[in-house]
Amino acid sequence: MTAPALEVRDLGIVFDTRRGPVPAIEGVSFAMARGEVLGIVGESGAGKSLTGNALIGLLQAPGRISAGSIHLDGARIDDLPREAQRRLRGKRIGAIFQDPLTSLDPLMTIGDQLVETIRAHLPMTAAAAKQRALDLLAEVGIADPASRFGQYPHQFSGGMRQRIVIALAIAAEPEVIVADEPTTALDVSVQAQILALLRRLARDHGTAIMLVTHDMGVIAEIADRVAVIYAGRLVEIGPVAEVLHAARHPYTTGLMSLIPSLSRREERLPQIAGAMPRPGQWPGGCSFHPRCPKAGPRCALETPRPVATDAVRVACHLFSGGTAAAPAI
Amino acid sequence: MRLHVKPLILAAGLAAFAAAADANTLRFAEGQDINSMDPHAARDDFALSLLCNVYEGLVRWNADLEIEPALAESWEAISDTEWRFHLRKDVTFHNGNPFTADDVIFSYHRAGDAGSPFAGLLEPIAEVVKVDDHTVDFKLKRKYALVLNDFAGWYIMDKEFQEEIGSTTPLDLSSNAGGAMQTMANGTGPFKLVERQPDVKTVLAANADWWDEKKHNLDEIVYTPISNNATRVAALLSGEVDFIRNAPPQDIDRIEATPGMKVMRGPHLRTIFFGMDQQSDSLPGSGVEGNPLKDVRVRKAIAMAMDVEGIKRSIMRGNSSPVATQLAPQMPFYDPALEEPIPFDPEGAKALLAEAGYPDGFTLTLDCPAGSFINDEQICQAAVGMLARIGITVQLSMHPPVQYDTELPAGQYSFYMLGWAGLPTIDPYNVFNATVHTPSGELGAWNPKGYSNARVDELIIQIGEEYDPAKRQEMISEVLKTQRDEVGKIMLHQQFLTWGMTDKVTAIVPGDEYTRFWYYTMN
Amino acid sequence: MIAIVLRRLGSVLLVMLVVAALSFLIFNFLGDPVNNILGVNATLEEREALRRALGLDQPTWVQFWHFLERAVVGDFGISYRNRQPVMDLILSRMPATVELVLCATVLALAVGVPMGVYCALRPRGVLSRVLQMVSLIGISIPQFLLGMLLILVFSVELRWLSAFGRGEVVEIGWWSTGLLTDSGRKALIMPVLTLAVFQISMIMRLVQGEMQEVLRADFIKFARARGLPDRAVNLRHALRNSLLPVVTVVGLQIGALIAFAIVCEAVFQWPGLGLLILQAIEYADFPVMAAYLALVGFGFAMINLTVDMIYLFIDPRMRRK
Ligand SMILES: Nc1ncnc2c1ncn2[C@@H]1O[C@H](COP(=O)(O)OP(=O)(O)OP(=O)(O)O)[C@@H](O)[C@H]1O
Ligand SMILES: [Mg+2]
Repeated sequence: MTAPALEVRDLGIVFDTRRGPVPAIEGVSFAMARGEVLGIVGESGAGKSLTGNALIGLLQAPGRISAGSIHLDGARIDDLPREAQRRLRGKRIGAIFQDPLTSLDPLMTIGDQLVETIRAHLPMTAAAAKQRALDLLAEVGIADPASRFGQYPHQFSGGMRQRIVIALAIAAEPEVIVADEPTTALDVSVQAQILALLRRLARDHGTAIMLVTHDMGVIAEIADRVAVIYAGRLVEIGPVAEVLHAARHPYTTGLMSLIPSLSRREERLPQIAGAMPRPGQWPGGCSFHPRCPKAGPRCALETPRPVATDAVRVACHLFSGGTAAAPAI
Repeated sequence: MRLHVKPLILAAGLAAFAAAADANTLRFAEGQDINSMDPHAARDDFALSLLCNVYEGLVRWNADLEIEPALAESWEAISDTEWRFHLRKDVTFHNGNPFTADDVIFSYHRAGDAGSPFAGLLEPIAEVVKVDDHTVDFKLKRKYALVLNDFAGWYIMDKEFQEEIGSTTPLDLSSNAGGAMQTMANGTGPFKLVERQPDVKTVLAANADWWDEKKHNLDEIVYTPISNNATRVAALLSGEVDFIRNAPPQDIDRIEATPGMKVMRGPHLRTIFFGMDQQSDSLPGSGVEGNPLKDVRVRKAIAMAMDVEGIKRSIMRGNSSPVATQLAPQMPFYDPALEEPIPFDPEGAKALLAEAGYPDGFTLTLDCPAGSFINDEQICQAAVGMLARIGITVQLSMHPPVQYDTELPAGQYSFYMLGWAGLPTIDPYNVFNATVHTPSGELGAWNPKGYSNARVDELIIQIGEEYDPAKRQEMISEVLKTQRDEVGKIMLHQQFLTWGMTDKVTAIVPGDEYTRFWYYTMN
Repeated sequence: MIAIVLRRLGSVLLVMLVVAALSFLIFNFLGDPVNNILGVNATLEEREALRRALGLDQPTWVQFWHFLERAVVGDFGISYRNRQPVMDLILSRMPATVELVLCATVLALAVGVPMGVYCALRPRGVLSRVLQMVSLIGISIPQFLLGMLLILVFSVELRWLSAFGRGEVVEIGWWSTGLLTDSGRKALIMPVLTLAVFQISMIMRLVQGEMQEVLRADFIKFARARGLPDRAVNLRHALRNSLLPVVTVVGLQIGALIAFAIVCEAVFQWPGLGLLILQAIEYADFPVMAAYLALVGFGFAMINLTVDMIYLFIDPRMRRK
């Protein structure tokens, strides 16, 4: 059995504060196979970007990995020295961020940025790197790469810039790409093209893509599986069809019902009552229990462990083989 | 546009640092540079006080400020209005040209013709006649007692040389001719110019062919302008210069406390006083009717309010001496009988003010220069406080000297600080005619709207014409006494000179501030 | 592009005119030079004659017009004080000031930028904290005081450096430089330090602030995500992007340095334009003052122009027509 392209085991992230470490991510585990697109959804502040940053080794102080491990193709990478992590970045794990308008250095031609990235990872002459850069531009769908090569970011439209960002991310053919809301800032029509491009990458190059998004439509369109994060914990993960249409965790259910196109009803539902707690304010037990319509006494006392049923894994007492009632002591 | 293309390397700054070892080089720093090497360019005592080492007059002042022969070895009066000067025969200019009567006549015209700065000084002279190559007669327009005094400040230039370089008039601002004298000099004096970079440095070397017996032992003088007081003192303390004139009062202790340094002191001929508007019928802004300053009791009250001893103690740090009249004790014709200043008596002053009808005082504006006299600003500030004690509210208005020297003679001030030394004449006549005579034409130019007394005016004219010293003394004393009794000026003090130097230097500190380097020695 | 430059030059001319006109107006209230030229003993008649000869008896605007007429052909008249053509005077003093200001600027950049970068990268480091403290002092210490302190330490106490002057200078055509001799270079040390300390502190703080800002930018994070080495991220991307505002401020500062140089030149008796203008003001030397101000106006405008050019060079976004 081959190792997954990327595996996260029991990941914990804390913020070091004056009053001690505050957990922001706890017990997150998942794996991605080659060529798989894993969607990550969750409310704003849930910890999606934190998780993504941890994967590419760019957690910024005061955040740090406090528990668990990250494995790339079976080898642990989170404990590598700084410089070794740096060399992985871009070469084996690429990243794409939300805003293509600000992801590129405005003072450098896109060609130079590509060549610089290529030569940081691949032993190539300047000429060879330039050729590769032109190929990459063609691959991500930039027309007339040769004349575009010497232009500056401001001379491109948003969609084109995101293509260039993708070209940069795949410059060294990484096995994994972390794409943090890559289409949020783009026009709907452009969004579709970019998503198609990512999908094609996963298919053609076998790249595993972790796609962070708020947009269930996006998930439905291109993800193979989807993970739902609530208050730093993975609450449900499974194949898109099952999670979207047969959500088990009450939070996922609520989340799905907020999406008009997915819900049966036409008028919008009110938001799930209450707000997601920030790190440091997590309640005891299941973090969702104060908002959960089905919460029982046990939910406030005991943090549910993820339980796998079929392809789906859920962290909820309703599915942990028991009930939401208080455990018998 | 004309650009100077100079030879490659010009030494500057402190090459003297090392070079001073064997030759006797006097490195001398001063707050400003002289504006020109032309001794006729301005009646500017500052420039002449240095140029006296390069150029000479027919007569000169000795170390005790007495007239002695210089380029003229003797002279005699042919009549009341005719003087004959016998010129020294063995004198050459620095470039080797012989000195003759032609040079004297040339210098008379160059300095004294209409439009030249010395025209006023030489105005009493009607005509100069060459008797032979070494004899010259001066014919006067009228009796004039101060010919010799004036001649000590009028320097002789080389006719041939000046014609050669095209500088036969001193004040030509429309052409570049004045610029030539910026870096050239050809005199007969004990030192000759060897190098000059305006505002950077001027180097003089001893004149080996000087006609007079050499008493000094200097080989070279390097004169550097350093405008900032503190830097100039630092340059002395750091051993980069040997000699500074006018050490700032606050640094005197520091210099004296430094091993190998000393301060030489001497009384200055200049006395400092407040002048007052005694002519106008009203004083705008005074808050009272009329012009209180016209009342002698008010003027006396102001004088009584001045704690001049206090100023000496706390502002001048002992380097001043209160005076009763405008004549410093070192001036000729000083009268010791008039030595007693008006005593400091604020209570009496108040009473006197009340008597004059100003029990509640009034308001005055005191105009003051910033930087013309030693500690001028502090003294004026102190005066504000002293006058407040007797009920006179004073608004202090400080001016840069250049503005001050324009506005004061124009009569724009009604209560102002002024100092006068009677230079370069060094005679009471100069003091009186500039600052005591009622303003009229050339007279009383620095006494605008000020003190006025017909009898005094008459005396001043006679003082200028009287040859008999005894009679002059009598008239001078009368002027001084009258002005003192009528409190024509509020007299403050005589400044002291405080010159800082290394122990190696022995200088003389004359009351006119001239650096007569031919009296200096170094070891 | 050429149009921009031409338009700029036009405004330069206008600035110089306005400055010179203002200076004429202001100086006429300052007092007149006649006393200085003739001495206090001069007669009224002599004063009047000279006033007429200098044209000072005419209305200010007439004087100004004459000044302009001559200035157009590069003739700023004759200095009342030095009796030399003003242009010669200014040209002979300019090298000292330019050298001082340029050395101070180079020093300020050479020290201030790396210090700023360091502090931006390690804002919590001990050295950064020390540098920030020191820079606070550097910004607030009056130049005069600093100069005098240096003189006290290095001239009076240690006797290493000269308290005044430029040392030996070498003349190359009309330019004179102290950079080619030992004493000339030594003479530069204290004045340059005095002038540069404020600039160093300011540039350091500016670079630090800008760079910390840029380091938070998305493209820096993305540059890291691309796996670029730290050096490339910090210098090629972060620093370069931080330099735009620095260029503007440094440009303005060079202008300010010309003004600051006045104090510095007075403290160290540096024979440059600052000392010249101080003396000119004391003497009411109008031609020198007006020419100096026109020149400084010109200098400022040229610096602005240069800054704009550098902007065009650095920032491709500005190059759009
Ligand atoms: N430096 C920090 N110190 C403390 N808390 C932080 C810090 N950075 C992020 N957080 C918190 O960590 C939590 C997770 O942040 P993260 O950026 O991962 O959210 P997200 O799920 O990506 O949200 P979004 O959809 O808005 O991007 C948030 O609640 C945020 O407030
Ligand atoms: Mg996010």
